[in-house]
Amino acid sequence: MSGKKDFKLTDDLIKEALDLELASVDAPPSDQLWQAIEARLEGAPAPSKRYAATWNRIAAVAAVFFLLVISTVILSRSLQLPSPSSDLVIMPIEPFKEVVVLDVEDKTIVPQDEPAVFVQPEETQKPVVTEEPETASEIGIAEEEEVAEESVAIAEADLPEAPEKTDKTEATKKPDAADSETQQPAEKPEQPKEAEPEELEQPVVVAEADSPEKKEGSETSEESDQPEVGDDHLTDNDKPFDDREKTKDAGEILIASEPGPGKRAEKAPPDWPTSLPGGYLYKGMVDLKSKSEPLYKAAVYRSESADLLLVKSEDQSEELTVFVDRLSKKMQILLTEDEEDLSTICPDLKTCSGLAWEKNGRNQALLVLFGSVEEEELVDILMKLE
Amino acid sequence: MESEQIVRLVDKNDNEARRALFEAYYKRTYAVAYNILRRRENAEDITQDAFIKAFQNIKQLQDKAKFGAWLAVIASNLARNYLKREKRILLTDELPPPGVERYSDDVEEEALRGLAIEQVRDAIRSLPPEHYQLVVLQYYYDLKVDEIAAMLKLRPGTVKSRLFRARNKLASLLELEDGSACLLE
Repeated sequence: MSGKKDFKLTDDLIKEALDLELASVDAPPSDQLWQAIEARLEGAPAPSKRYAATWNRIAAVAAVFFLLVISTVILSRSLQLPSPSSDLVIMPIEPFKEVVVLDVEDKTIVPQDEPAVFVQPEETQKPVVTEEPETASEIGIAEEEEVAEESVAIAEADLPEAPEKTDKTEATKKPDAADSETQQPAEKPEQPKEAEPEELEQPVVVAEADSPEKKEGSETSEESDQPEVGDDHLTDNDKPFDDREKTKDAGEILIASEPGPGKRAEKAPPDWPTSLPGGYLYKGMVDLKSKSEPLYKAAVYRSESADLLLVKSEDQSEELTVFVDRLSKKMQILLTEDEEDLSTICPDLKTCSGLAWEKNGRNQALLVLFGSVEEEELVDILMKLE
Repeated sequence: MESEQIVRLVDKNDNEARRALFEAYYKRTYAVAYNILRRRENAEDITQDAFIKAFQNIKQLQDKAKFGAWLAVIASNLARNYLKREKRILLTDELPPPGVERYSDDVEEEALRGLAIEQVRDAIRSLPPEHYQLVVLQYYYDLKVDEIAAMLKLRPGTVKSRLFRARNKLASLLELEDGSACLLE
């Protein structure tokens, strides 16, 4: 811009510019605004607010949808509705579990031999068993409910394995459990008892039975079951968070039960906390890359309402302001340095808040990736973290 | 006059006093909200909300002479909160047209000053809301650092450093050719 250095930025200049700027805005007619204000002050219902209405509608729809889902799940679990389709839903569950259990014991993979052929002690079983592929998804759902935190992806990942690992003995046991009344009463009580507490998690563990890495996986899931059982599949440190989300969508997500292509589900790396104050649990690592600038390692932490990103720079010679600038570029948001080595990310391009500080010569930042987290809360987290 | 109206309003819940205060301040309150939001409808809503909050909480205002600044703080806080909720990217397509012509027919010096003012205005529009809020309070409402700190519930040191940074930001914005691109710098 020409003439950009022809003047000095004085207080008078700012004042004058600000006066003009505020005066140049065309305000709406005062009567119109005043009537609305007066009506609201006199207790009349507020006119529909353009900015609030959208959110209210979204919130209401989300709440209704959430209630519907919750109530449906609760109802289906507690009542197990005796609908015409209930046979299709409930009966295959136990055979499925049993297949899994036996497979663990045998540690063998038997080629799939048309389970429908073997599973038919009675004629009535035929339609049920032949529909196994369809009901498999329902099984997944049922198991997901039991395990609570395990994602559908876990159940889906196990589904292809179940039919592969069937064998004749397994298959012939299916109807025993499935028949549930007539055939073998002696076996039946065992199955639910054994199956309920353990087998519910078997789909996770069983997949590892075929792999030498099984023990590690089960250990991690046990150790981290307080942080969250369902989170295990997200502790893949080497994968960017977004990528993992994508693979999750694609049904390829790595879970604790799966050997995976050379990558193990791990906890947070040694230098990184497994959780942040305020209920934020470690979710995974992210590399913040950009051309000709140092790579920053970052970890994603998630609570029920927000995601935080903890970023660390390896470069000890890097000044905090440089770090903030580089991070700003990487995050495509603006950072400005704040008092006492804390930085506030300005909501210029998108609203995002965060703090940056220096510790032991290493610059760090805590950013809000998702959700609304007040600056004060971030400072609290930082203080407790330090 | 304004203090009288405010006292009347506090004492009697006087609607006329409210109206007088509204007439005196609504334009600049609307302008503050608009400059943060860049959406006329939303700025109107925020202006309404700001006046209602101000009228309902006017007893909390200790220095009645600071009503305008207090109202600006309420409006800008509401606007910032709205932006946070919306996660809206600021757009510049609704910016008011520059008023260069005001100065272009005067002597050269004044024309240059007018040009400079327009550049400063552009830079002010590009300020982040939290910096814009401080600049308005200091340069438009002539509040001191302590007063701003009290209104925003910040420490004076924080206000000082933010004001300093706001000025630096203005300066850096003025050196860039594209005011919007500089936000990523």
